[in-house]
Amino acid sequence: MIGKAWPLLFAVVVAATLFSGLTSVFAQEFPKPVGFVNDFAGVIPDDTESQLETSLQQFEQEKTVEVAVVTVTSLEGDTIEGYAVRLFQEWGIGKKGEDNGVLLLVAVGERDVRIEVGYGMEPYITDGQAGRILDERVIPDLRQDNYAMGILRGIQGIEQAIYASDYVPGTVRPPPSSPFSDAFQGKVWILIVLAGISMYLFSFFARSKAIWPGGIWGAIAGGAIGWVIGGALAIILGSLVAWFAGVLLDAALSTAYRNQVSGGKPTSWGKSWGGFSGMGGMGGWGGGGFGGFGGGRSGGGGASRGF
Amino acid sequence: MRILLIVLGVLVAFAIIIGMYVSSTYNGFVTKSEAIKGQWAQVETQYQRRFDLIPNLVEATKGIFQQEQAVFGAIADARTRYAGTVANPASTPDDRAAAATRVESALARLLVVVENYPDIRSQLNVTQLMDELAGTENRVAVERGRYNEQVRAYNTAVRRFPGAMIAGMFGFGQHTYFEAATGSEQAPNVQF
Repeated sequence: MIGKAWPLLFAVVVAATLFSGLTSVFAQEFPKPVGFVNDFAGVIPDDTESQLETSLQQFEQEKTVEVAVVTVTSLEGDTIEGYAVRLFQEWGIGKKGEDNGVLLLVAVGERDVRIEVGYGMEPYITDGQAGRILDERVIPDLRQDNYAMGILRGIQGIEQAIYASDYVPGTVRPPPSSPFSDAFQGKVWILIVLAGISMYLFSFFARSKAIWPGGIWGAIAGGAIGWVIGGALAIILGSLVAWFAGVLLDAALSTAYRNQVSGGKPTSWGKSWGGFSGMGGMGGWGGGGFGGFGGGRSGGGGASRGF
Repeated sequence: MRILLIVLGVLVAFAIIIGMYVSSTYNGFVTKSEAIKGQWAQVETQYQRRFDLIPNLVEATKGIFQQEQAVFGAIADARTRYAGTVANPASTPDDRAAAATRVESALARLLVVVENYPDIRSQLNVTQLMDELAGTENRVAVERGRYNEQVRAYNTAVRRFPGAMIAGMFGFGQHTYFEAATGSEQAPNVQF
């Protein structure tokens, strides 16, 4: 019986080889953004925070520029320049393609402050201007631990600099999403129907010794999924992969069925669910609250100060 | 007969999947390699930006720091050498990186000099120039860090199994990291 399990073994090996390149250990170092204002150090009073958030939302509506405020208690050993550029990259502040984001980062523990300017905003907020905003508007209040006022005035300075420049609002593009989840937006029922039919059919396929019916059904189902995703290539690839998976699954289930029978175990329809337990967890679209930044990038432009 | 067909079908499916895997891995190497080149161009863009900034900087500070002429001499010298290296079509990225590092250490000395004169440093135009200079140095550091990050991603992909087999088949070698020349990151001594 062990010899009959080779298709399953191969499937595992192939899958492991294919996906080994995709997985990587990613250190989850930064918290998720909660809005334009992210007072992780807790130095901004609530009313000021919501006022600032509203003003930054309006500014984004008007100019498409994403201005983020972040306060942290510690830079965790990094410099403020290094921390700012990594946080900027992680969050993607600014619109994708426009790179029109600005980050005002205050490190309360290190007493450092930085304005990090996205690639697209570099001509409108030069390093010299960023330094001047910090010197004239931000530093004096921060020195007296008046964080809310310093940040508020700093944001005013950034917005004024953009208003005073000849910055033309960028064209807003939809946030990036995978073609798969995009295509299936509102068409999840196709997946559910396919999965339901598959379960029903495979219960018959399992009883037959032949493994080709699984392949045929796989090709049909894969083609249907490819058709929803769109494009001839998707249909061909979808049916090819699913055909192969169908053959393997049928082979595995047939083997399992014979094992069940020879072991004198029950083979009712309900028992054949086991082979599909791995199909769960397909959901996970959407989510409430702040939608996240637009995917902008920065390259170390801006200015820093200690206070 | 039916068994033979099934075996044949499975073999064809394997061949297709392996073919897809090899081609996607190969394309991955090409993409990563091109990303490294593109990132190096980003680094050189920042070198050029720094290069263009120097005349303004020297113009604005030369009169103020009369007694620090050695620093300005070193900056002018390094800038000339960098221009010569970039203009030389035979120069390799390594040559240009070395020339840029010389500019970097000369400018670092100027920054230290300015730090030593707080009253001059606080003058508005000097402050702005120093911000531009510090910003440029930071940009160079960021782009170089990203360059090394791209090289690391590529080198890892080339060396890891099973990609290493495909890399060996098609002759994908290792890229070298950008190493800051020794001495450029330590603050130079300033004599008074």
